[in-house]
Amino acid sequence: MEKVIGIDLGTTNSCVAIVEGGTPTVIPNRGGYKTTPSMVAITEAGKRLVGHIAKRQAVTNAENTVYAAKRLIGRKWNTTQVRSALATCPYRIVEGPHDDVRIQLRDKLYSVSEISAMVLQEMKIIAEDYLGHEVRKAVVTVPAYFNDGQRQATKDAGAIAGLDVIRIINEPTAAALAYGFGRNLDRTVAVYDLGGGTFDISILEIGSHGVFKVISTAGDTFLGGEDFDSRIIDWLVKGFQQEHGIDLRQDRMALQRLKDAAEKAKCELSAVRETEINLPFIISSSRNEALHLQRMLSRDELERLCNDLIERTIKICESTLEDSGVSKDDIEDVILVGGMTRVPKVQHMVAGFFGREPCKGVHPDEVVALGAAIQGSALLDEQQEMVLLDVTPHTLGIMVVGGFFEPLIPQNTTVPTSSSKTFTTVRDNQTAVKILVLQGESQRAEQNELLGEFILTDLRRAAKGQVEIDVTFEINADGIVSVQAKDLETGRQQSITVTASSGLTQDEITSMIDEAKTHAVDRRATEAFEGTRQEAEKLMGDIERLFPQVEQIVSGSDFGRDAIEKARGVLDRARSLIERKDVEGLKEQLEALGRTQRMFKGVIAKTG
Amino acid sequence: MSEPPRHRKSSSAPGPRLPGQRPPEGSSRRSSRRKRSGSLHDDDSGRITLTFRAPSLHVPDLDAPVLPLPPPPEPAVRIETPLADLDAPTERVERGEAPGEPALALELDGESFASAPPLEVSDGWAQARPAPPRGARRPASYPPKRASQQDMALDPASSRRGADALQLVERVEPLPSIDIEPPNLVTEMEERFALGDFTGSLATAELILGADPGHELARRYVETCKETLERLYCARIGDMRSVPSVAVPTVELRWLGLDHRAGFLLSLIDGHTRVDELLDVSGMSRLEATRILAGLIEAGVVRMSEPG
Repeated sequence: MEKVIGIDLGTTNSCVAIVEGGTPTVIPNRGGYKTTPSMVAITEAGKRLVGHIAKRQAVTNAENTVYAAKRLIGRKWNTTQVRSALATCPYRIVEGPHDDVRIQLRDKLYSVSEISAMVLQEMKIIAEDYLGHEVRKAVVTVPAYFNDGQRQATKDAGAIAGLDVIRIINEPTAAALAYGFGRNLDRTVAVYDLGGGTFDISILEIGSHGVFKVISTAGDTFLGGEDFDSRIIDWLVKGFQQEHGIDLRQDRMALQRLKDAAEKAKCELSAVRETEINLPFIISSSRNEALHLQRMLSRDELERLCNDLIERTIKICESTLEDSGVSKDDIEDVILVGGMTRVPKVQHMVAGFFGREPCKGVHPDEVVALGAAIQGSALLDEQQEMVLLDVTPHTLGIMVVGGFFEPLIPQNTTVPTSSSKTFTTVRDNQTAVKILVLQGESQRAEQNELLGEFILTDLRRAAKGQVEIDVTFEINADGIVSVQAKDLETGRQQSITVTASSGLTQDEITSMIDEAKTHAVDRRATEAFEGTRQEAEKLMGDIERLFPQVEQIVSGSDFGRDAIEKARGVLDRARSLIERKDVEGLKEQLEALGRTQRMFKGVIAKTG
Repeated sequence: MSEPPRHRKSSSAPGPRLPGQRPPEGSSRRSSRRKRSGSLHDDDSGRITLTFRAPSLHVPDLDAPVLPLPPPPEPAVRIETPLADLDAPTERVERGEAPGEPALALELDGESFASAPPLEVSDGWAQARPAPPRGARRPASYPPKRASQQDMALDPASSRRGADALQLVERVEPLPSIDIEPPNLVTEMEERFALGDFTGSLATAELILGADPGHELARRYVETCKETLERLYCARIGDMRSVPSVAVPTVELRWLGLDHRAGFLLSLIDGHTRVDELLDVSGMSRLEATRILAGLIEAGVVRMSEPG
């Protein structure tokens, strides 16, 4: 049966999992890590780097390394999030042709979906290497607050990566799925997700018979483990400046080392109470002396440095519970998601807030991917009963007079749903109304996202307030929004279906898919050649090592001289094939090399 | 230090040659001088060790202004120095040795040298004597242009005749000119290239380009020198797919005479990352990263393991 992989496409790290023999398992990457940094870079030589290797040069090649692309995916150019990213990201963000966002790396512009596709492609390759065959289908997770455009952009990213994204599910839902896997639970849980770059809190109801419902979700897209790292970096930089009068932030290499060391120290302090940060030759002084950085960081110090960050997450939890009308006592379990929840202080404060110890049964880094894999497996297996009820991540409504936003479907309403409201004209003899469909939480219409617009015409001429227009919003199970406006007197109506758009045209997506395929083929070809070359060079090395001995042994006979010549020919041909990068020819030559190596060993064994 | 670094005719380098460049001449003369001043022998491991027997030499322009481009160590020649002296200028290695003792031992790895130029073009003299920046006053002790005087200044055979190198250098009349005109630099760039002093030639070519960014010949020299040096360093590193690891305990690292760039490269070495990946993530130019890595390997700070 075809396998479906589950991918947690995170802001900072991504993870891929699969269900094997009924058990969900995370697939480690080539380096043995179960998570892969969601980072993409292009080197000076034009080489594409994805994952850990991209992360390791993120500071020294900052302009050409994309991180946290998830904050930009599916966003319009003129949005607050994009403005924030423009102010904080070292890579170049530019306006795309469809009011979307593009990223410039070296001399090429990439859509955000393309960047995410590179990460997804890496996850696909990790799974394929593990399974030994091609993978086509995937379930990908997104934050619960993602709007239709962001979900569509994530789907497009999957398509560009060569994946058929059969379902997009919310991250807290996936976490709850993994948490409830194999258990017939019926309870209300809180999912506290503190990742590398974002914080999310979601309240879910897990019903018996596999029904998962997100009641409420909120978060901060600029709060995560990176902020904790920054605090450690600040502390180190300040200490070094006091000691040597040098600002380490001015040197990119020093900063890269500080960043790596801060993250390492932070992780270590989850297990030990004190750790040493030792960075020899961190920088050279003006007198060309190499200076070293060596400091002890205690867990207490880290907690002091980051206490306000953890408190921020607790405040968000508080407001989310208030908004959802759920009390702390209603929460029966707290699921921790994200590597940062390993920090003891975080666990302590979460436990203090909810009044209960968080659940320790799920792995915070893996739980979302595992949930996605479980969902993927369930989608293929008709016998499994699982219903995921999603909610509207944002309030939907229309613009009314004065530029205000009138909500019709509130945030966190379970889909499918529909809602109607009656409006009247605002001017005498008004014959047309413009319906602007918006999504967002602001009372001001212009601060919310415009999903679509249409005009209802041929209204009866009458005094203001006399013509009544009924506006109906409907969201079906697939999350497609349709809006209808109807003149209640004449029955005339107009409607619009809001189709999610990632900001890319179909032609662009097709072209990106082709490009990604070419890249994948090239990469596979290079790997195949490297593998064969290594094998060939090992045999060639053996033969060359044995050559003098064999030559000496057989030099007395014509037959021997002939064999030596032939062996030389085999080596020369192999060298030439390597130079020409002829992988097929080299594969064939492996047999001759193996034969020669065995013959040489045989000759030496017989005479020696 | 027995080789006259500026003697154009002494180079027999079949190494890189720029388009239109004449092949170097006078290789036989150089060979005969080599026999006089040192010995070349091959040990069982296939390594060739060249030992120069000469009194300690003084490099005339110790105080010469340092080039903006840090002069890398010799790519094809290994200078055996204590680890603590890795960062020290090469000059320091050469001082204070008793006459008659080996002044400098050079080891050439037979295998990796196959792709490198032969001994005559061994690069790196520029480290001891970098070219002054354009416009700078040439120090009084700067080696003269005339080949015969240079031979006298640095020829160990002359030194054995009773006069040490320092005295010989001091007798040379200082050049009267204050400004170094581009034609002189061009000649120097060409001469250094012909001698296989690619680092020096590169530095000179960059000086020319600094003054005249449109200088086509200098640009070609820069490109060729960079390519050549990178190839030489790569040859010393070995297989780009091999995995480097740190061979010195962490606590001892700080006692090494490294600079922060070497320190940074060292911090990237984790025992898993391949050389080619290391070069990708180093944030340095490939030339610089290979130069530093080759230096770390030769200093024994980094060891390489077989690919795969």
